[in-house]
Amino acid sequence: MVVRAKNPVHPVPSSIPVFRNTSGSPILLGPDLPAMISPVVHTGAIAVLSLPVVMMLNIQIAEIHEKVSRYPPVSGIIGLIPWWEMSLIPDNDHIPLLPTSISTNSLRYTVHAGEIQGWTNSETSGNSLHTYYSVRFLVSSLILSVAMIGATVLTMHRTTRVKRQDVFRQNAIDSKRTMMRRTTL
Amino acid sequence: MFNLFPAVFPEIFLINATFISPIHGVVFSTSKKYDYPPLASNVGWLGLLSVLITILLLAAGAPLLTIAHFFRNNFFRKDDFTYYRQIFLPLSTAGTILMCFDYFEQDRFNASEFIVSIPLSTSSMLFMISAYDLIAMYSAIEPQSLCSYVIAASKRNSEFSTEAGLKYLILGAFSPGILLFGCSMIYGSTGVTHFDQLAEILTGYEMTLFGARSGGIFAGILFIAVGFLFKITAVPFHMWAPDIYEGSPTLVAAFFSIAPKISIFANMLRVFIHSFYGTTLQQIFFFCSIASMILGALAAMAQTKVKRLLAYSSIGHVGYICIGFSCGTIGGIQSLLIGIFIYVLMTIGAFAIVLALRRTRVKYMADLGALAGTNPILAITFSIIMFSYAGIPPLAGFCSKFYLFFAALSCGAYLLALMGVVTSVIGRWAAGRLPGVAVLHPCTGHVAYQKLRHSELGGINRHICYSESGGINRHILQ
Repeated sequence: MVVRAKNPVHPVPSSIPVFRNTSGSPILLGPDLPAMISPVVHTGAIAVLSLPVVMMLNIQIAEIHEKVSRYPPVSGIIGLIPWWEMSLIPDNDHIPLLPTSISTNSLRYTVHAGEIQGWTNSETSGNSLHTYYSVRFLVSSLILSVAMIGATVLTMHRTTRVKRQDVFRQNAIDSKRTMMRRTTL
Repeated sequence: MFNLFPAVFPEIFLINATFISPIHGVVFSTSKKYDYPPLASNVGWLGLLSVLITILLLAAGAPLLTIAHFFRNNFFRKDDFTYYRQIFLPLSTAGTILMCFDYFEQDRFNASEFIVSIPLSTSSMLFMISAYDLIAMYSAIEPQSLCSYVIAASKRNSEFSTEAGLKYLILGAFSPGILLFGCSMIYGSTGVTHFDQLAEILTGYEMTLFGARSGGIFAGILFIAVGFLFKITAVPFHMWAPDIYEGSPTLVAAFFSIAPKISIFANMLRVFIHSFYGTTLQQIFFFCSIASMILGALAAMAQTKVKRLLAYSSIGHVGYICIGFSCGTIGGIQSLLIGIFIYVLMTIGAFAIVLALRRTRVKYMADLGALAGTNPILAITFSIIMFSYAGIPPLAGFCSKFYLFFAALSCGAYLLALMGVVTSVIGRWAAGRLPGVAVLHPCTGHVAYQKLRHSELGGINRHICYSESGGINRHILQ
């Protein structure tokens, strides 16, 4: 659906199930923190911000008539890949579909009591990533601030013809005066 | 591993100043009390001042070089090499910012945030120079490029500028992607990202038997090399560089032919000479430098626009500088550093002159035709700079090329030196066209120049003296 849409706005909300499904795979495999962060970042930041950009683009009607029948085969193949992964990789210890599982003789009995983890994912990543490697986050935040400043440089246009909000004027609108102007039909 | 904040005081200062300057700009330019002043020049001077103070802080941080060994878990490392690069970089940025005040006045350019991108880019370039980890390198390349895309597209009423910004965005988004892919392959094959550890792992790499070589390492190094070559616009990867230079505002083209080259070459030296020494890269740098030199010389001959000519001559010069890279010897590295220094001085001079002539919209080379008659000092200055680009003997450009070729010969890269000399001769014709048009074959049409401001002339002439005396000094010292 993301690939086949004719209206360019449709792919953005359609990608929300894509991100949700993509995060399901890490949840099953173990790293829960990245699995939770991934939809937050992808949907909540990237898709949400690219949606207004796509809406502002000026798509001519002529482009819509290009042949969209080229896309489903390739996107279908790419879309089948996560299905294939889902069936083969998670829980490979219990359901050995791939020959890479450890013992092929007998079913391994998993002692679940032994797999209780003392530290959660957030704790482990926070323990080393946010202390010893915190400079990487600080330097990456430079990129985000550059993006903000860059957006301002490129788009802010302070002339008299650009429409701006004047909050005080909006607050001063009197409903009686405004409605009465339209009663003459 | 302890975190040594004082060692990054210069960068911290520069980043803070960069954030306070637009706040100052916004607060005061919207204040009714001061009658909404346009603060572009004001913030510009603040930016210049912050860059100069950063130089002072860097110089004052010299004692920290001895203990900045274990800094930040070895994310950055400052030593003598970074010391000189990090002082040279804000100096050249200050030179670029000096050029922009006239630009603001001429174009009545009001966005005070424009100037903010330049110190921000400089601070990330300072990080890049001292980066000692693949992740540090990448996360410092990104803000630097991002600032450049923004200011490349900043001339709002010109579609040319938007095109340049978009092309630079695509080029500059794609190339760190390749770089990062290479970094991830290296990490996957070796498990480390730190340069020292990579150096230890890859020490005897070229001597391993074929069976013991890891394809992942080779591919990773290759991708990192390609990513870097994209960034310095060396030849097979120079795609849109002339379009970018031509379309963006001249000041911005000056900025990104000067500043990123310094920092990216410094970073490349760290990566390729320290961590990945020797392996298989000599061939790719050979090929790129030969191709860059050839293209720079040949394409520069066919240009009619000044900025494109400067773009192609900078591509060619990058080719010469990569000769120093391909050698891998200490002489090669020294000649590379000298070459960058002289290249930056020449480029600042060339762009300063093109900017100084902007009042009359110098776009095509024929517009320079009447320069000799109206402003002979400027014409002579311009000639000296372009002859320096071409490599005429007493000037600094010749000295840098001499050392580069000498280093190539001393390590046995005879083909490089030969190609360098040949393309230098060809390029002499190309680079000599500008002074030729300006001085020797003046046009008789009506080309009018406004009076140049005194400060610009003074700056340009002082600049020439520095670069030429630099050339003579090298000659004496060596």
